[in-house]
Amino acid sequence: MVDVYSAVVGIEERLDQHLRYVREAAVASHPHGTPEWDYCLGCYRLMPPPQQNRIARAKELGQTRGALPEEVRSVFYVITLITDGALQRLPGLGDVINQGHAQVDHKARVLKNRLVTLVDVEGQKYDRVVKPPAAGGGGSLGGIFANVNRTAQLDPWAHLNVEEVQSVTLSCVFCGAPQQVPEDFECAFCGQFIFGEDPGYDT
Amino acid sequence: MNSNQQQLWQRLEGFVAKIKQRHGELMQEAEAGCRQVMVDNPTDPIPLGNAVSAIDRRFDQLRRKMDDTWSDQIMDMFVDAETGSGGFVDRGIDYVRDAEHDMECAWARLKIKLQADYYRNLWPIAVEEMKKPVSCTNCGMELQPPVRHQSVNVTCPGCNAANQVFPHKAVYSYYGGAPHAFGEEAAIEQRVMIEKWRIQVDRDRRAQDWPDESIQSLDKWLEMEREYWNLYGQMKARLSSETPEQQQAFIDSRVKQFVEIHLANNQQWRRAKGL
Repeated sequence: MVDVYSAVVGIEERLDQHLRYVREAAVASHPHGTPEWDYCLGCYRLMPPPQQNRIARAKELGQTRGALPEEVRSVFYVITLITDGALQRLPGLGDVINQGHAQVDHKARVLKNRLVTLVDVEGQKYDRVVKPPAAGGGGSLGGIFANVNRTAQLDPWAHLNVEEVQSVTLSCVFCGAPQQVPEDFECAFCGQFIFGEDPGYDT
Repeated sequence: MNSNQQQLWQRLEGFVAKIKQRHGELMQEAEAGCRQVMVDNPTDPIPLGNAVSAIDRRFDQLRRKMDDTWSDQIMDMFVDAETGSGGFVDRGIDYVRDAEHDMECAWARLKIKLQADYYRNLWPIAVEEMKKPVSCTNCGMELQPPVRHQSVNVTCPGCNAANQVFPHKAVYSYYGGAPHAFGEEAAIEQRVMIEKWRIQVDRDRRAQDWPDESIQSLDKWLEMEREYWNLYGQMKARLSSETPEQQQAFIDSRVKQFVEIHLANNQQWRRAKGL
């Protein structure tokens, strides 16, 4: 049981080593690629994309340093496969868990859960390092306030040229006389329904 | 603590301190940004509300990051370092939970203060708008509405036309939102006290291997919640011209909701109350 537990710990440590290596290589790279980054991709059996694709994508993202996020995420994905494979091939893990060794079970479960979200979690961490901040102000909340200010300018009624008024009087469409009694829609002057069409409500 | 536990504890303290520092930085940024939003949108509460909601989610992400890191990476080390006498893991759980709760309370206090300040700033604008004369749309004669903070029907003394007079945007924004904002502000410390007390109740039960919560404790919780709604309701009533009966009905409705959610399913409590 102790050996299996140590083996699971070892798998997790190797996972962290892979992640460290990839992060450092990616951050030190450039969106258009570098020989070192392409070597890193090769270590995980990944081909670098065509140069013109990298240039276009870097321009689209406005990214000026570090490898492109999708390339980094591809490597993270391969790492999750490697780690998951190592866990699956670990001799005795299933037996130890079936025998009710809670510590090993918990450790393996936590590691597997980590793999499920690893690409997203590590990808987002990487994005925060290399992506330029959102326009509209520095700081982590700058994007929020930029968005708030932008949406505050939106006026869904602008195209209707609606004027804000302080008071309104209803007028009879037949004779033009103003409504005399609130909630009474029979014209006090001509006796007609002031809106022009009697809906036939019960009174 | 043995030396291994001390090392782990120092690492945990260091990690939590970083999260708290980041939280503090975000709080400063949030306050500065929100106050600017208030200046840029003095009569429209929606932009501030949008900003606060978005910042809520950001703080939530930060707290979850701390919680996930504890659960996924650190707690195992504490489990491995636990000794026969126990308590080390629980101490770690409590430390992280207290840090989370402190950060939640700090942001709650700030956002409630920001929203209350928004309405304080809006009040002079609303007062000026309420002073402005309003005229009959039929003949132009000045009307004398009995109130200026609600829509009313006013018959023109000149031409007898029935005018529907509306409050200005600043006025209806104020009266629409200020009662709640000031109510929350008046009651926030009671809410913080209730939450801290609930955390302690759970820890006390954990220390005794989770017995049922006593009827006395549940009754105390009920009274604390009632006091929260009293504080909130009294402030709200002042601003919304509620009668004492309406105010009491509001408080009773909130307390009833609390009972239905938290107490009515507790069979022990129900038996004790003869339900």
